[in-house]
Amino acid sequence: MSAGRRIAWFALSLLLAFLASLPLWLHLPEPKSALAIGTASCVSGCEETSPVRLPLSWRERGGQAEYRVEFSLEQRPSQPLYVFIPVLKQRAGIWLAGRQIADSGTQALMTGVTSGSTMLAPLPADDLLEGVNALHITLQAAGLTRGYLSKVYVGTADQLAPYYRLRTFLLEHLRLMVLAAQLLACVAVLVTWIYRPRDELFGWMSLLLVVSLLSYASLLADLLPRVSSLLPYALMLNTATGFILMIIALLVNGSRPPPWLKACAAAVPGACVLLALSGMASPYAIVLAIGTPILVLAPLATLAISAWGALAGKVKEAWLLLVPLALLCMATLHDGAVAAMWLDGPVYIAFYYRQAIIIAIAVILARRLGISLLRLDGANAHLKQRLAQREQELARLHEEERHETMQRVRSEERQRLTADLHDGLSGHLASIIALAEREHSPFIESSARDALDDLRAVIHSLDIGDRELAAALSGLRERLERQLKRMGIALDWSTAHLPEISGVTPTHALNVLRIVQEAITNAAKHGPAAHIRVSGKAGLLGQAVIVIDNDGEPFLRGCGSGLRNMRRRAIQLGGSVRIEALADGTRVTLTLPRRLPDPPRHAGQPA
Amino acid sequence: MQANRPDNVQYASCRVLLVEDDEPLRDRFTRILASWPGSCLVAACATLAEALACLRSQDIDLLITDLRLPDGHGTQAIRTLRRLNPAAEAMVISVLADDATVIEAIEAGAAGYLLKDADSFELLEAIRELRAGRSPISTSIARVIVRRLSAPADAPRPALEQALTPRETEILQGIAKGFTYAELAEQLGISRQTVPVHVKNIYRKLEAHNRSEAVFEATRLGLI
Repeated sequence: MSAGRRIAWFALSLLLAFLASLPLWLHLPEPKSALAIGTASCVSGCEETSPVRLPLSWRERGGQAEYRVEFSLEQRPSQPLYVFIPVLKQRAGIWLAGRQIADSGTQALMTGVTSGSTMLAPLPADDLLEGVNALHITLQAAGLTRGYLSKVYVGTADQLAPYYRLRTFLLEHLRLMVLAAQLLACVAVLVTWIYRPRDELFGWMSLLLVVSLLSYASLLADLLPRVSSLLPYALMLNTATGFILMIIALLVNGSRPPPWLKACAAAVPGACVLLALSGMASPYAIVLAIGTPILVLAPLATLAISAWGALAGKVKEAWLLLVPLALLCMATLHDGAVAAMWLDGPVYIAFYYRQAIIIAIAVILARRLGISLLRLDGANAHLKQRLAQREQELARLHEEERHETMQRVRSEERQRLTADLHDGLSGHLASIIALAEREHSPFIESSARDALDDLRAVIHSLDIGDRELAAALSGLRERLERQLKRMGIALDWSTAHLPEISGVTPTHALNVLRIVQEAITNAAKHGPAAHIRVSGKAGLLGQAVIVIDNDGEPFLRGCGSGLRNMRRRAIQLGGSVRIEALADGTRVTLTLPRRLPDPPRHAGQPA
Repeated sequence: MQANRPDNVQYASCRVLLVEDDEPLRDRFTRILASWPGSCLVAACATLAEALACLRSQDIDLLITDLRLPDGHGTQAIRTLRRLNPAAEAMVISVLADDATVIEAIEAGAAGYLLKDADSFELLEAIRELRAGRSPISTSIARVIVRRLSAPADAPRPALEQALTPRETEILQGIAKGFTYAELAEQLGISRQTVPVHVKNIYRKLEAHNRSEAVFEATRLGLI
């Protein structure tokens, strides 16, 4: 990671930590211009002695009390007035002049254990008096909850409404948004796990998200009062999240969670429920004695695990879990302090911070998916490259094999031809030569010799491969040497300087041999020459140049069929033949290109 | 008069056996050999059986044999000759100087070859050269041998390449490329007449190698 990216990440983390810690130290604004009521007097059921300072918090859990607060108006108000209680817990009714004007239990959505409510109620103008007015506030707290009442404000709609809306948003809407986010994350992780069941981490993440939905049981209880008796059981089952969180942290670290921890995730909530059902302890007592300590201690233990992974194990993902865990622990400590009444305030905030864990889980999930896709891309590119290489290799092998097959076929063909020749034709020709000699028929003998030589040329050329023109010419030399020797003609031959040319096929080789043979035969028969010189050399452009000189009669312009054939063959070879008269003889020059043309498909047979 | 020529003195005792199944050719070679005073044509056989009988019953210095015979192959006669008399020479009669059977004959022990249409001059010169320790080689034969040299040998077999001297390998490769004796001699800084001497040595090594390979094969097959 580059230094720039490191700094960017650090800055982003700081910003997130700052935003995330806001609830811990930021106090919500109170209405400034409205009339604030800071004291109340106790009417009935109070722990405190009158007068009571607001905000007040009960020491005991559950119960009911009635308070009286007073405010004075100088004159009857010209605008409608409202009473505003920023935070109360858990349910409040407001009475004015003996009439109930509001009940938070029917207004607020969230009346659950951990949340507080806010309340805004219009004061009926008819009941307001000049001078002192008295409001009676009844406060109820159920089950595990402690009663709480903040300061009370009286003011106009303009003065109070924004503060009311802010609290409604934070205490009700935001919680629902958090629930929606958790449901979304839950679905995403669950689907990921379904498609990748062998990834244990995804399984535990899904379980955490599903089980922690139980913490919304209080909301459900508000909506369906019948299930409220099940609320403590939901909270007991919710203790599983503490263990699951530890397992997830271990998996993120890359360690193997111990089996007993996995067993605890099922055994502890199960034992709690069984204990409660057996009637040995009250459900609320169990939640307090077992559930709450687990939910407080588990984040601390998980924090330690993640810190160990991030700092000692250098696991990057552990950092993603460490920061939200640190915030959750702070929030848990905050809530603990509130519960122990070391801190003032009715609202437990750990609930909000659990969502930070869910966000971290979503980030880890997305990160893993992203990394997997990157690896997949890399693997794809690698495979494609490998595939291309293999294809190339295969194509090369195929070409080689084709070439070898061609060679083999040609070799077999040649062997067959040679065998045929040896057994049949050539033997007969040799017999004819012998017979003609015996019968003194020089023409027959000469024709038979020519035929045999021609057969040899064909056979020999069949064995010629690419870049083997010199070898082909050498075979011709071996045959011509004998003939010319018989005729008393000296042959001077040098093809050592003939450049290698490519594209040589048996057909090409035979064409070259026939041209050279024709030139030599012409020189021997029509020259008549006493000395023939064949030399090979390189042309200016690297062509192969074969020069056949003889010391016979200088060439006179003519157009015998032999000459025509030589030219035709030279054209087939992509080269040229030049015949010129020297002072004391004739010169035939055959020029061949560095690469001979590919033969036409149908020209498989030697011409 | 002719007895005074060095050739005749040198080869006066050259006993020749001719094996050729084709009558006109056998007749022709017989006439040519008969016209050569230095030779003594012991017999002109038409079959392998005759030739083998003759080889066993008489001393032969030079065997001139066709390869395809009605009752067998000329290489058998060559092997028999070389076994009976390692100093004797063998030549094969072939229609092509690059026929695979010529190589086969060389491996059997032949050190020279004749073309079937060879005239008297060629034939006698070929015999003279051979008797003087010089063997002919064609581009094609050289190419076949070079190909064998470069073919990967099985590990336990004696490699032919190791049997040849670097000079012999150079000569083979030069001939295979199409160089004439003169060009090759100039390139290697040796006399032109030395080239065919090297060629004969190469042939002898081919024969020895072939024999050792046969032994190797037989050992491998459990025949020996």
